[in-house]
Amino acid sequence: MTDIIVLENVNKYYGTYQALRDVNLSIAKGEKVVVCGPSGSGKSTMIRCINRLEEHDSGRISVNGLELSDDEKKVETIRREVGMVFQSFNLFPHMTILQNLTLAPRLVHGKSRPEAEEIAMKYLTRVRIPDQANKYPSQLSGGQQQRVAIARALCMNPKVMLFDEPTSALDPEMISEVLDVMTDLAREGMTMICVTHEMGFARSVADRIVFMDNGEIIETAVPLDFFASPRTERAKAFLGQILAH
Amino acid sequence: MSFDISLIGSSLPRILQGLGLTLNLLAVSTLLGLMLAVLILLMRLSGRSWLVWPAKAYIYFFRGTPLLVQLFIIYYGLPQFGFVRQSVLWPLLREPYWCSVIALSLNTAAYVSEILRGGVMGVDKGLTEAGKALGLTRFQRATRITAPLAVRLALPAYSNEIVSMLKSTALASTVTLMEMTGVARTIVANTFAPYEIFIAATIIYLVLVWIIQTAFSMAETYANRHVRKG
Amino acid sequence: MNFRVGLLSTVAALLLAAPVHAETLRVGMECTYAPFNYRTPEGEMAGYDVDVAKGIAERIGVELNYVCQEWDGMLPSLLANKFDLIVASMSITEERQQKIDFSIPYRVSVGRILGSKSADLKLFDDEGKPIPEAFKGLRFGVERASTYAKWIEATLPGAEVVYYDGNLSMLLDLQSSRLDIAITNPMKAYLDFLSKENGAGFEFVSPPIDEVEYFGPGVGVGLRKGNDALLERINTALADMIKDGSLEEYSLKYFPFSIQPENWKGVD
Ligand SMILES: Nc1ncnc2c1ncn2[C@@H]1O[C@H](COP(=O)(O)OP(=O)(O)OP(=O)(O)O)[C@@H](O)[C@H]1O
Ligand SMILES: [Mg+2]
Repeated sequence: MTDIIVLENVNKYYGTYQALRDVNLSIAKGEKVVVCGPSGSGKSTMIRCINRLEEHDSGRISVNGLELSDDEKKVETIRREVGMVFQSFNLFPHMTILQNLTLAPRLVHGKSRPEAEEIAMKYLTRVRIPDQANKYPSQLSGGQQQRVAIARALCMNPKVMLFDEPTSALDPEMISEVLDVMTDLAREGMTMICVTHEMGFARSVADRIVFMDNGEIIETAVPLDFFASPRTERAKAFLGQILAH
Repeated sequence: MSFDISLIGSSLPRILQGLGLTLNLLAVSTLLGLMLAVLILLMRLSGRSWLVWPAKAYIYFFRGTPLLVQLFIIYYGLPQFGFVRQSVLWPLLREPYWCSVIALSLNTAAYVSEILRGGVMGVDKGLTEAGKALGLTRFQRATRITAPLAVRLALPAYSNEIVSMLKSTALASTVTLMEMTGVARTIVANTFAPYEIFIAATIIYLVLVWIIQTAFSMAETYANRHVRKG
Repeated sequence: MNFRVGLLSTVAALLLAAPVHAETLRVGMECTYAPFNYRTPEGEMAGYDVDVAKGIAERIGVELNYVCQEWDGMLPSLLANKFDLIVASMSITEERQQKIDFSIPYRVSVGRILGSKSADLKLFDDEGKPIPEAFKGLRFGVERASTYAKWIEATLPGAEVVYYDGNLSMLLDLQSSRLDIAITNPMKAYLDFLSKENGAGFEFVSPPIDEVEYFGPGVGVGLRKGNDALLERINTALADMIKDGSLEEYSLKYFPFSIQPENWKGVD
């Protein structure tokens, strides 16, 4: 099995504050990894390093065989292979849903407008909101917006999808519609790294759970083991808190 | 002091003879100023200190000194130097029209570049990141995401700047141009009726300001059609 | 009737004035308006107005007392009998003539056009009339709403006129060649410009323009109404000073050209 994402001894500082400490992680093609850990533990920082929204200070990160560096062209190539979904949706407010979905395929892949729109409609149908194509983001509910954001990333036909707490900003009744879409995606074989505290989702979808604390990966385990018998005290405490809800 | 209302009415058509030049000064210097403003903005945002500092100094100078002084430096100051009068720019600098356009453009560019920078700063950083994550190049992000949103954010302040530019065109009358204020001052000098004549000029300026404000509020409504109302 | 009263009083005045003891006249002037009336560093009164006043005094046999008065109060002070004559470069206007009398002019009110020496302009024909075609394409500076502006608008309706709020900015534009020509008071032009380094390349390119309808008759001696005998004596004295060249001589003390009414000569 080939590893599509490899992090080796990655360190990252914000000023003097060390946000990542010697992070090592390899993710195989088709693997689904859930990252969890307390607030401030470096989860976002880690996945944002993977598509270079943050720059790491030392160590190596490679995606699909390409190593990340200052080379802007290389970074753009990698970003095209990696889709990302943010906690706050980040849809372009001045474009319709359809324009949000067709922008990158047209600009980056050079697709014609009809081609791009066909792809867009395919993914909008997949996330179950084809009828919203001509609305503006502000006219959609949070759950619908996040599904559009997922569809937007999928339109680029990525090899990997990164999710940074995609349901944290949603009202409870909208969480499941987004998780359902993510579950479908997982079933289709997408490689996924997902920062989430939705333990039900983790249990049913993840191949592996990565637990972080204080910038370090403390524990990596299959969900069954992680939930049944966490090896470290910190993971135990964390799970205790999460599951108390 | 006698006040002659009919003089207001009879001076209106004469002052309106300066309208063309007023609008011409406004349009040309607004346009040139905008182009220069974008250039200064790009310097300011470039992150390279040898571009950032000249841009900052420019903005500081032109926002920190009165427009009238800038105009006088260009109009009266520059010709004091023989080399300016020998230079290829002299045919331009010789003309009070171009001196006014230059002063107005240089001045507004400083303000507009700051207005636009405010717009750029106001664009949610998350949107740029979404653009990066989709693989858009820096240029594509700037033109498709940052610029259109920054312009929308900057529109209200920009409309104020246009209104203030309209009023600034009146300073061109101090370097002999016969735009509306120049015409009004000449009529005043002949009739010794400052109140009536300047009231007439005021009326015309207010109508122009109303037109500008209405046009911009329509543009704002259109540009913000994506924003949910209520 | 008036004539007869005037004649009688003249005769009376002449009889009274002559030998016995010198009469004293008080003369109002600003004393700060060089080179027309001012104090020298030594404290002596000097200037063209002062010379004229002295010339009159000598001819009509009076002593002079100078009274320094600010311009705004000049006319009221004369009327309030603070002094007897105004010899202060005061132009003769209809408005003033309703309150006081004026002598015949002892100085002109005129305009002259300035231009570059190197431009070699010929704007006036041999009779001193402007040639409208010669003004074509020339940018012509003038003070807004001045008598000069009215003259240009009436005489040269096709000229490319540029209006100024003050002489200084107009002369600056002439210097920087934004203007080709400019019209102004020749005395001011000489004092502020032609006699200075800045004006070295310039000269008058017109004869004195003195049409009374625009420029008025000139500058005169002012006195309270009802002093016809004194007025007559002053007029006679002034006429004499014009004839014998005294005014010409006073002019040339301060300017390289004459400013007396009867005998205009250019700088050239
Ligand atoms: N731009 C930044 N500048 C300085 N410090 C930062 C920056 N971004 C993150 N940090 C710090 O780095 C640490 C890790 O942040 P990160 O966002 O990766 O945590 P997280 O695990 O995603 O937490 P959360 O669950 O709250 O999202 C935190 O202590 C945070 O304060
Ligand atoms: Mg986070």
